[in-house]
Amino acid sequence: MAHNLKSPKSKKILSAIIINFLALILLLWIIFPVYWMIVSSFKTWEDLFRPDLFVLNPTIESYVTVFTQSYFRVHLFWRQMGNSILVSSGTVAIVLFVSIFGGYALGRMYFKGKRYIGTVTLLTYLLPSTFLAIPYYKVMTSYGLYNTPWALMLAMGALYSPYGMWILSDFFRGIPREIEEAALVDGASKLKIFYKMFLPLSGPALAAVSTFAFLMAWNDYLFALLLLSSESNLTMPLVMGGFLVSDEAPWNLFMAVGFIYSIPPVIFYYSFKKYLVTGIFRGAVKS
Amino acid sequence: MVAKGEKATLTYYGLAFSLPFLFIFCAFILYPLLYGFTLAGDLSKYQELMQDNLYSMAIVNTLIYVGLGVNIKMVFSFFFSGLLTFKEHTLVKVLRVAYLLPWAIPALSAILSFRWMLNADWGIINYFLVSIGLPRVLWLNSYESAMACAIIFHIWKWAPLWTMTLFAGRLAIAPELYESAKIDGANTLYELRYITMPLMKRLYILTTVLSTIWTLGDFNTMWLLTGGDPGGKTHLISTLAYKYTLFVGDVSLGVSSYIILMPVLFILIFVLMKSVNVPGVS
Repeated sequence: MAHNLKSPKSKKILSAIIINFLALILLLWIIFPVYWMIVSSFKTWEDLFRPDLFVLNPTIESYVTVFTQSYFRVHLFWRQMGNSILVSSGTVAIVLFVSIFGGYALGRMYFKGKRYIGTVTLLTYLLPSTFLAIPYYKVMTSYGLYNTPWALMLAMGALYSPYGMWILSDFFRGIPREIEEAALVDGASKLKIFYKMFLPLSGPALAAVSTFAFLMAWNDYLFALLLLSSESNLTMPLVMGGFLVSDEAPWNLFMAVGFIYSIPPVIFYYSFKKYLVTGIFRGAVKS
Repeated sequence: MVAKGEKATLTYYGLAFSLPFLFIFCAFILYPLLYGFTLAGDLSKYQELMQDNLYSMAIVNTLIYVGLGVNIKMVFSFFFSGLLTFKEHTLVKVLRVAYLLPWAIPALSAILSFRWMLNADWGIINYFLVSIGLPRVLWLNSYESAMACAIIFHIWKWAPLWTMTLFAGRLAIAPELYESAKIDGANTLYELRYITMPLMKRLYILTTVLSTIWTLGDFNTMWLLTGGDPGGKTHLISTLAYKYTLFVGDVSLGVSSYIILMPVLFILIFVLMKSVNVPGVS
């Protein structure tokens, strides 16, 4: 046996066992909380309190309750889901608008003060958003934006634009100079080159920026908590946060809401995964 | 050489294209930040904070949460990213697809699921403990276990992001280095010690610094997992500041409680800004 263990072949088998075993443990660690959420959401009220790892009597009862808004904590489900969609798409739109222009300036233009703008984007990216949240509470009121979706969209638009600007500036910088020069010789103006040539090429980079901004905005809880007050304006994370202080605990229904809310970002993420880059450390990574 | 007039035009174009960012930055980053500092100018607030036991607890908790949470998470991510490089194994292939799931699903969905699993009466974790003959644990009712749960949740949610970053770093190491080490008869430990670790050192330190900055601002985990309980003992600076602001109704007390983090934060931000390229200038 001892001899066998040292032979290359059994060594290979042994390492395959160890690696697959570790991978299995990590898979369970990663997936179980998500699996348990989905399983619980399809359980009946009676089965919910039994520890079965599988659904024995699957039911869509919880989903029907949510979609028909027939439980008081989800009685504005569609409206509040709409708010989440509105805030997230608005944030994506602002981030795209700011970072298309800003990214082009950083990546493709040469001007005084560019270095300062670059530094400011870095500073904004590094700042934890929590530090701004409390001042926002006052500032948004003085802007007249308190309790409107604009407060969230503009706050997150400002915070997440720098990252979008870098992705796009890297992208624009990567487009060969010769193409631009040829167009200049043909008499195209700088602006025309920007929207006729650079913009149509930037699809994948725009997808990456949108995915990032969408995931951040869809996830937001703190800004919504501080900047929204009336029930009909709340986004879904706040509604879900409200479940936790509930005396009643229909966990199958809570899990159903949690699962529904997870679907859009997971789809978004897996569709555009290959465009997501390492962001700030891309320089350090390239070595 | 560019003519003088043309240079002015270039500056004009460059600033015009940067205008949306400059506007949104001034209105929604710079002004709130400066406003925050004016709110933090009232010195009597600091006296108030110093006498508040919950505040000193929150400082200690923040140190524990960030110190343990970030470091365990980064070491874990380092080895996790290493496992992902063994792509010829079936389960590693599956893991490569699945590992970013905690990062992609919303924090709120994940926290709901953890709260349900940790439920004292009906949670699956206590069911499991009882079934192997151990006593039930009231996970969120004692200081130690509530802190532990928050740190574990933090690692579950955020390790994938750093695993992805460190994985990209590992892939950037020239494969020839490992090949020639293999020819010289080096084993896995040798490769780890003399190739991977030295080459990953810089990226590992920088990711740890950035993760520390962001974890100092992590609000959701503690607020939604423990809400500062039991007895307000598990507050972090971020959650307590929020409580002062909305529940006590004292915005300037809320902002002041953050000020203690500012020196740390500025040093870390300075370190990072010195070590990565300024975007747009490279």
